[in-house]
Formats: sequence, structure tokens, C-alpha cells
Amino acid sequence: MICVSRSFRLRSFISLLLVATTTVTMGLVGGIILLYRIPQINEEARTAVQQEAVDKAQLLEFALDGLESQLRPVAAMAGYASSVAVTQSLEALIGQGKQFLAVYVVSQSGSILSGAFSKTQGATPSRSIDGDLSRNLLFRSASQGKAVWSDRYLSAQSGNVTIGVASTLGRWTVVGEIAPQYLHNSVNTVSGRGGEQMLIVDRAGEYIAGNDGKYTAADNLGALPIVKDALAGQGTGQQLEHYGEAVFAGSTKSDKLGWYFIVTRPAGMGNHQIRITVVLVIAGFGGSLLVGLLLATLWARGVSRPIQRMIDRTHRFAEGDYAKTTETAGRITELNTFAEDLQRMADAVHERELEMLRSKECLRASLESTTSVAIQWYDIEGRVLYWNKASEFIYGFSAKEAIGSIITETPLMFQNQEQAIKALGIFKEVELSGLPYGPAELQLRRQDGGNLVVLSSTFAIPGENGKNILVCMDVDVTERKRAESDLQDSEKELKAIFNASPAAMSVSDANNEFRTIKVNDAWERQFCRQKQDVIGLQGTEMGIWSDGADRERFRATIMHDGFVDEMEAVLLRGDGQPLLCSITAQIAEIGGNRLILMVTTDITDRRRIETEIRELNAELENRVAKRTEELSGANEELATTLDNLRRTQKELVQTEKLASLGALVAGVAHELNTPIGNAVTVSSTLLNAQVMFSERVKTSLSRSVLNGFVDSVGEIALILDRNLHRAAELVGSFKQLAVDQSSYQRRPFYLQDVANEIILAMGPSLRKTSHKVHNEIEQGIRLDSYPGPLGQVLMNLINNALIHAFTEKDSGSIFLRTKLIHSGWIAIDVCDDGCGISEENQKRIFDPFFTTRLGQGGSGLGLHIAFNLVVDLLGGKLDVTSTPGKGSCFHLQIPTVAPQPMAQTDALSYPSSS
Amino acid sequence: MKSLFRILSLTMFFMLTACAPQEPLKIGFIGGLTGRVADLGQAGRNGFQLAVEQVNAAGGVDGRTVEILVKDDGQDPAQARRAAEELVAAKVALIIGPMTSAMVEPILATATKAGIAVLSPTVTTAELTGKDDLFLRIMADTRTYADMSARYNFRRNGVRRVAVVFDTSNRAYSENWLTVFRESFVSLGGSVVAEIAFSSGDDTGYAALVRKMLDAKPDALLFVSSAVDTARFAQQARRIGASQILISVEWSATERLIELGGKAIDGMYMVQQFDRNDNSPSYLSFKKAYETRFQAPPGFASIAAYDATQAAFEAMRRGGQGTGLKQALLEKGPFTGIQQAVQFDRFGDSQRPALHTIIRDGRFDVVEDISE
Repeated sequence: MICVSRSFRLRSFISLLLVATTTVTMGLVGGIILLYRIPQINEEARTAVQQEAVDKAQLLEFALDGLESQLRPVAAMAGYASSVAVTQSLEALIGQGKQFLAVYVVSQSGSILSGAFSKTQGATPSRSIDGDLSRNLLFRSASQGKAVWSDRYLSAQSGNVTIGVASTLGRWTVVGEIAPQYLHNSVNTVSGRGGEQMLIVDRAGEYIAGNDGKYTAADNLGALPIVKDALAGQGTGQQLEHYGEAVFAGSTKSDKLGWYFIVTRPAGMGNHQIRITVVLVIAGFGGSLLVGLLLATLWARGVSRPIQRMIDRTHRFAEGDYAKTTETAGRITELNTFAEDLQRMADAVHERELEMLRSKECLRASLESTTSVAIQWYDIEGRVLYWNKASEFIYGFSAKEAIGSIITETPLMFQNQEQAIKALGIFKEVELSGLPYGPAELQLRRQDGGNLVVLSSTFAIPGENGKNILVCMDVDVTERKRAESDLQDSEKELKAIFNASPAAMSVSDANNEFRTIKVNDAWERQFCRQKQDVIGLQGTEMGIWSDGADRERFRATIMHDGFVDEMEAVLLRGDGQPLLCSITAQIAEIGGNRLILMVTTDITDRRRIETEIRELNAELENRVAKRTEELSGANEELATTLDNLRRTQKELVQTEKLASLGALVAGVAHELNTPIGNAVTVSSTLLNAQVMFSERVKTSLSRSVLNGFVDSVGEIALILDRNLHRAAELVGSFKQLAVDQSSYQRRPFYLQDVANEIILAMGPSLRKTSHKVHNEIEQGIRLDSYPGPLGQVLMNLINNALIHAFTEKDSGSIFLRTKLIHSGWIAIDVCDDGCGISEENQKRIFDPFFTTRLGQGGSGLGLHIAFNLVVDLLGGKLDVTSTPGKGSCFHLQIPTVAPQPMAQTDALSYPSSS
Repeated sequence: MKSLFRILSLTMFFMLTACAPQEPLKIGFIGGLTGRVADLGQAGRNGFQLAVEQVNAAGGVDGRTVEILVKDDGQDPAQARRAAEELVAAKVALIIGPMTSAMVEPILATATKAGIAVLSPTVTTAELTGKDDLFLRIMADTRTYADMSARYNFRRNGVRRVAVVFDTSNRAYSENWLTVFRESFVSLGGSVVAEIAFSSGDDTGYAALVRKMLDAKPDALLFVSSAVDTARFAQQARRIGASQILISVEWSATERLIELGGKAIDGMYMVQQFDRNDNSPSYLSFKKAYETRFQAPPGFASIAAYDATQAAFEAMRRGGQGTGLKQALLEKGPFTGIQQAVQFDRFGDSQRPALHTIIRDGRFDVVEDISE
């Protein structure tokens, strides 16, 4: 193989060659063009800008000459004409103000004789055209006969920054202020369309005009490199940097105007010509590269195609495909000749190969077609030369892996190297004697490790180069050998199983009067008899049957049915001990013999245990029945007790409820007492007054007495009215309370009304103590619920506080508070600042009959009733938090609309218990 | 091949990062560069430009080149606002200007929104004194100058009756100046016999205004106006033959005044904000550089603008970057000035001594001030 660092395909190689040629050529040509042309263009630009500057300066001077020449006649005229005439001609000079913004005639002393402003400058009548130019720089530099141009200066006359021109003739000087637009137009005209940038600045670097548009009249450009050079008189077309770009700048000073003209043209890639040249060279380079690539690819394809065909054909020959191709001849003569020679050579080789193949085929077919005889050829060193199909099949080694290997190195089917060396010894013997060896039985192994037994013969046949080939022919006899040994093994196995079986088994011959042939070890143990004592004997002879009838029954059954299934019989051991056995037997016909196989199981112990269990079961059943009876009696008793308990509880609840109603009645009665008492007192006063009045009427009635009587009647009526109304109100609210309490009416109501009623009703019991109830319930909370039960809940909670909270306190406080927690729910807290509730008691506080004041009047039902009402009727929650020593808080949360009762449930009827 | 390309691109990246020039530092200038107040504007711009050019020649501010943006306000509030907006849009670090008090309001409003400090060389109106805003200035306020003028003319020139014209196109300055002057002058015992307002423009009737002043029989004529207007008023007064003492204000005391006024302004008194006869090396070298560059002598506006610009650069070198520039100007002073150090108080105001001058033969001559 030829070593190459990297090889290319023929087509790529030819393409690359063509492309490289094109690129290098174009690169060289382009480079030379650029190297030659760019300095040339630069030199041209340098000369051009300098020339342009001079040209433009001259052109502008020429253009502005016209302005100067207009001023001169006025100056001449000022010497002799009247001031009116001079003014008129000045105004004519101004005209539309296109050239001058202001023109004025100045005397030698510097005072303005007359002047005119352009209309655009706003020439109003009041505008004075006078002034003193004695110290004006332009005026002072004006000289006879020659017009002088100014830098940009601030003019007092026009009041603006301007450029002026002064022309002097005799004693008079005419000054004109140039219209900026005119100057701008002139510069544009002069600069033409050359593409150069032109810039005019005055001596101080102030911007005068330009065609760039980048600058304004506000700029002083003295610091720009191009202006700096121009002002220093060094602007001769050199390359300078201008706003980050390279430019060629030429400049000149106009002696006439006193201004500097600067013309710039971009240098480097900014220059149009350079850019075009570079673009052309790059385009040419790119274009030729593209064309080269296209052409090269096509050309390379044309050239490489016939060669590729030839190469393909050679490849096919090498692989043994000698088929002729129908390809047409190519255009390259040498290749065509080469192709023909190649085909001839291929044909000759093909013919020879076919010949050899035929003779070989005959031998191989005969060797290969045998399937049962494994044939191998070896040379004298033990190398495998041939390995037929049967060898592959028998030994598992394929011909491919076997052929070429040496048996002493790779033992193949030999079990180890030692056996292989032995085989090699046989080969040598056969070689020497010329006699065949075998057939001999050999132990060999398969590739998968399985053992083989073969019958092998070895003989020699002549081979190439006069050497003998040793032929081994083997026949596989493994299967036969294995079948023989398997039979022996299975007999041994059966015997072992028979003896090892834990069941007592015996075999007897049905054809030979049931004489015993065999018994196993278990049988010997079970019956305490020896094999040698029983073999060949009948059952009766050995005396095993305790009852002869059993024996007869067994014989009849087995002869009739062919089997016996679990027949019970009492058999006798060798020592005469009886055994209750279960006998199972089967007749098996083996090779004309009818053998009876009997299995005898000792069931003496099993039977005894079964009997015991049965007795125990019966006793247990008896005992259970007795216990059940006792339990149901107890249960009935319990049910009765529970029923009593429940009834008692109901009664107690009712009592509690009535007690609270009684408290309410007492409270209301107490409240009623005051207004009615008042009414009684006042009415008795009225009665007295009436009596006294009647007496007076009988005697004498003074006016004052009448008046006094009427007044007191009025007062009394008022008091009566007020007190009776109060009483009526109280009765009304009592009625409502009574109705609510007794019937659990549902209706919309205000929470504060219920609270007020409850506090009112509890008034008497509260007043006995010095404790206070602080009603902090928010106004306007409207509920659709059960006012009676809610009132009762509040009353029970307040009562609970009064009874329990203030045992160690003289004056405690109870707070009623509300807050809306979320939509539809309201929280009512009943809190006290009393002694609190221990944690242990908190858990049980809502349980029925739980009280800490047992025997002191507490029923233990108040909080329980409250809890049930809240949960079951009002549909809310009630819990308590407490800090012992600081007070307790009952938290009541109820929906603003109570849930609809499903039915008159137990919970509902429970407190009402009617 | 791939790794070679990677190395090349990395190398180029580092070269580019290393070689990338720093962003130039942009400074804006706003002043009246056209119209009647252009003398003040041009002088200020020249001082500003010279300072920047010198700094750039010395390598810039901490290595950053300074780029200038010059805008003309045309003495028109709307144009001034546009100019300020353009500078804000260009992201300048600072605005030097304006040159007249009337322009402060629109510019400051725009600059404040963008948080850019405005440092004026020549604005003196006392209306802005003592305000903690983004406005800073080099000059003292009108109180110093107007008061000085009143005292001098009362005591030294024996003036008792003054007729005044004042330019309402720069009302922020002129009215403020006049108020201070009036207060001071009247307290001394004088009286202001006429106060005539006018708006500077093409159709200003100078002769009529001067006649109106003379009608009040004054001892002196006071022009609170720009150089162009002052020159025209003086010329009219002399034409009519008025012999009264002429007084003008520091606003008009530009180098152009001489040229504009001609002989008519000889004998005019005014307060000057710098000393033309200074022989200090710093002033002389500045004067030489200025004259070489602009072919004209520097005026008070040039010096003030130069000082303001240099002070800003010095503040930047002392750490006043970005929005911290104002604080640096207020706190890191004093800064070197041509004739005196620049030092701002906490409101961004400064003090600058003044001299009284008279114009003789087209020159400003310092007259001894004995008013104290």
C-alpha cells in the first residue's frame, strides 16, 4: 500500500487543480491591478482637490465680482447727488433683497449718510439707518478703488451676524451686507456637481459657506484638521482625518475675499474610484472562482467517468465477476486499449478456474453428502485439512473454525491435549505401517461440552507434494451407550424409592396365589417382621390377617375391581400386636405378570384422636348455649336501664327549660312592676284630687282651684300615658319572648333586640350582684333564624358566667361582642374576666350533667342545652377558650340564615320535649 | 482546523476589546450665536471651544476624547428648548450655557428632566440665586453688579437723576438688574426719573426712546441692554447732542461693543467682570492662545466659558462622572480659573469680583472704585 498523508478522489483532485489555477491567476492579476491602480487614483485625487480649491476660489471671486461692481456707482454718486437720490439708488440696489440685506453709504468719519434695508429684514418706517462705523473693522480696512470683504461679524445696522463688502470711491464708502441665501446659492453654483465637499471659512475659522450641510453659521471650524491646515497655508492635497474618515484636502486662500476654500475628497475606501476598482477586482475574483468551480466540476466528471468505470470493472474481476459489460468506448484512446486487454485477461482466468472447480466438486459431493460418518483429513502434524458436514453436525465445530487448526494446540473434539497427542501417535503409526487403525471406541466431547462415544477408523491417502493425508472416519455411538446405562440406573432408582418410601408397601403375585414377592423397609418396621421371613409366603402362611373374613373380602374385591381403596382391617404384627390398618391396593400387569401392589397404613392412633375431638366439640357447644342465654338476660336489663336514663334526662332538660322561662317571667314581671306601680301611685293621686275637687265644687269654686285641678289632671294623664305605654311595650316583648321560647319560631330579627331582651329579662338576677353585662353587640345585624333558642343560648352562657366565673370576685364584667367573620356567618363572643376554667374541665364542659356545683343547685345541663341548640338548630358551632385566673370566652359562630330543619328531628324535639 | 479558527477568533475578540476606543465624552453648548446677542454667544462659544480643544490636545479627560455639540438659541425660548432637547437626546454629560438669563428657564426645564446639569458662564439674574437645582454659574448675581454701578455713579459721578431703558427680551436679567439698581440708588438719595421698557428687535425706535429718556431731564442715561442696542442708543444720544453721562451694564461689555459703538460710546461707564490689564501668566497665555485661534481678543464671556468648561473637566477628573457631576462641582472645588479660582456654594452660585471701567478712545480703562 502506498502511504499518502491524505488521498483525494480523482474528481475532487481534478476540480481542485482547475480551481486553484483560476484563483491563483486571478488573485495575482487582481493584486497587481490594485497595487498599481490605487496609488494612481490617490495621486489623481490629491492633485484634483488642490486644483479644485483654486478653481472654486476663482469662480466664487468671479461670481461675487458682480456684487462689488454694483456698489461702486453708488459710491461715485454719493459725491455729488442729493441724499434723497442716493437713498433711492440704494433702495434700487436692494430691490427684493436677494443680494443685499442692507446697503449704506458711510462718510470718511464713519457716520452713515443714508441706507436701505431689504423688505425681508422688516424695513419699517421707524427703522433708523444711522450709526457710527468709525471703529468697524470692515470700514477701517476699506481702501480706495478696491472692494474689501469681511469675516463674519456682528452688525449694529442689521443687528445680526453677517458678511459685508465695502467699496470706497473718493470720500465715500458703500457697505453692503450680503444676503446669506445669495452667498449660499453662489457657492452651490460654484461647487457644481463634482462630488467634492467644499467648505469656506473666514480667517478666524468661522463657517461662511459650504455644500456639505453638516455645519451651520454657529460653527467655528478652526479646530478641524482640514481647516487648521488651510489656515496655516499648508493645505496642498495631503491626506487628513476628517470625522474619523480619511480625506484628501486641498485648500487655498482667496486674497480678494480673505476667505479660505477647502475642497475634500474621500480617501481610501471612501473614494468612489477606489471603491469601484476594489469591487471590480473582488467581483472578478469571485466570478472566476465561481465559473472555475462550475467548469472544473463538469470537466472532472467527464474525465473521471471512464477511469471510474475501469476501476469498477477491475473490482468486479477481483471479486470473481467476469461478466462482460456493454459499456461503449470512451474518448481517451489509451483507456480504451487498456479496457480491451483487461477483458481478455479476465476471460482466460475465468476459463481455468471453471476447469478446476468441476474435478473438486465430485470428491467434495461424495464426502459432504454423508450425514452419519464424520470424515476429517489431517496432515502428519495434526493440522485439520478437511472437515465434512457430518463432522460439523456430530462435533459441533464448524468447518471454518476447525480447518487450519492443529489438534495438539486446539484439541477440538479431543477431551484434552493428552488425548490429542495420543491421536497424533496413532497417525504416525498409520503413516509408518501404511495399515489402517481401528475401528476403535473413543471418548470424545462436543463443542458444547457434551460427551461423545465414537467408533473411529484412521487410514492414510496420498496428498499433495508426496505427503500423506490421514483420514479419520467416525460413527457416533453415544446414544446407544447412553440407553444401556440409563436402563440400569432407572432400575436402581426404583428399588431405592421402593425401599425409602415411608408407607409400608408390599408386592405379591396374583398369578401365584398371592405369594409375597417384595416388601419395603417401612413394611418391615411397621409389622416388626423381616423380609427373609415373609418373601414367598401367602398372607395366611405368615399369619398377618387377624380375621380370615377380611382376607377373603380383600381377595374378592381386588380380583373383581382390579383395585382396593382404603379398606380397613385389623392386621397383626410379628409380635402378635394388632394394628388397625387402611389397605390400598392395585393390580399392575407387567410383562404378563399380574402383580398386586399393596400399601398398608397404620391408622390406630389417628382413629383414637378423632374420637377424642368429637367428644370435646359436643361439650363446648353445650357451654356456649348456656353463656348466650345469660348474656341476653343481662342485655335486656341494660336496655331497660338505658330507657329509664333517657327518660330522666328528658325530664331534667324540660325542668331546666322551664326554670329559664321562669327566670324570664320573673325578670319581665320585675320590669313591669315599675311602670305599673307608677301608674297605680299616680292614679291614686288623681283619685284624691278628684275627691277634693268634688268637695270644693259643692262649696265654692274659685277660678284658681279649677285651674290647679285641670293642670294636675293633665300632668297625671301624661305620667299615666307614659307608664302604661312602657308597660304595654314590655308586655309585647314578653309575649314575643314567650312565643319564641316556647315554639321555636323562625323569623327575621335583629341580633341586638334579642340581646337586649335577654339582658332585660336577666335584670333582676343581675341586680342582686354587682356584676355588669357589657352589651357590645353591633347594631343592625339581621338574622333569619330562631330568636328564642338564640336567646336561651345567650342566657345560659351569661348565667354560666354569673354562677361560675365570679366566685372569687365581687364585681366582674361579662362582655357580649360580635363580629362578621365572612359572608353569611357571624361570631358572638360571651366573655368574662372571672376565674377561668381549668383545662380538664374545658373538655367536659358541654357534656350533660357535668357540673362543678353538684348539690348546690347546678343541673349540669345549661351548657349542654346551649351546645345542642347551637349545633342542631342554629346550624353553628360553640367552643370555649379560657385562661385560668384571667377569664373565659365562649365563641359562638352561627350562620345569619339558619339551615332549614329537615324534619322535626330528635335534636329539635329534645330540648323542647313537649 | 477548527481549533485554529477558534484561536483566531478569540485573538481577534481580545484585540478588538483591547483596542476599542473609549466612548467620547459629549459636552453641549447653548448660546445666542445669531442675532443681536451673538457677540456674547460667540465669545462664550470660543472660550468653551478653546478649553475643549486644549483638553483634547492633552489627551482628553481621563483618556476620553471630548466631543462638542454647539447649539444656537437665537435668543428665542422655543429655539432654546429645542436646542436643549437635541443635546439631551445626544446624551451630553453637561450643558455649558446659556449666555443670557432669559434662556435659562426653557433649557433648565428640559435638562432637569434628563438630570443633566446646566453650567452658565454669564447668567447673573438674582432670580436664580439660592436655588438648589441643576443650574450652576460662574458669575456673581446682578446684586453685586447693579449695586456697584449705583454706588459708583452716585458717589463718583455725582449722578442723582437717572433715566433707564431696559430690554424686555431678556426680562429675567434686565428687570432684576434694574430692581437692584433702583433700590440701591434710591437708598443713597438718588431717583430714577424714567424707566422705559423696550423689546430689542429690527424695528426698535432708538431715537424716539432716547428722546423719551431725555424728556425726564436726567443727569445720566442708563442702558440695560445688549451691546448692539447699547451702541445704537449711544449713537442716537450723541446725534441728538445729549451730554448726559452714559451708563451701561456688564451684559453689553463685550469686545464687540467698541466696534459697534464707534466714537459715540467714548465716556460710557460700566462694570466689568474681568481685568483686561491682568499680567498674570495664566491670563497672558490664555489670551495668546485665544487670539491665535480666533484672531480676536477674549472678552469676559470667553473667560467665563473657558473657566466653566475647565472647572467641569476638573470636577470629572475628581470623580464627578454622570449624574454625580453636579455634586462634584459643588463639593470638590475650588477649581483653577484664569484670573481667579472657581468655587460654587451649595446652590451652585459663585462670586466674581468686578471692576468699574470707562471707555476711552475705543478702550476699556479701569477707573478706581472709591465707593466702598
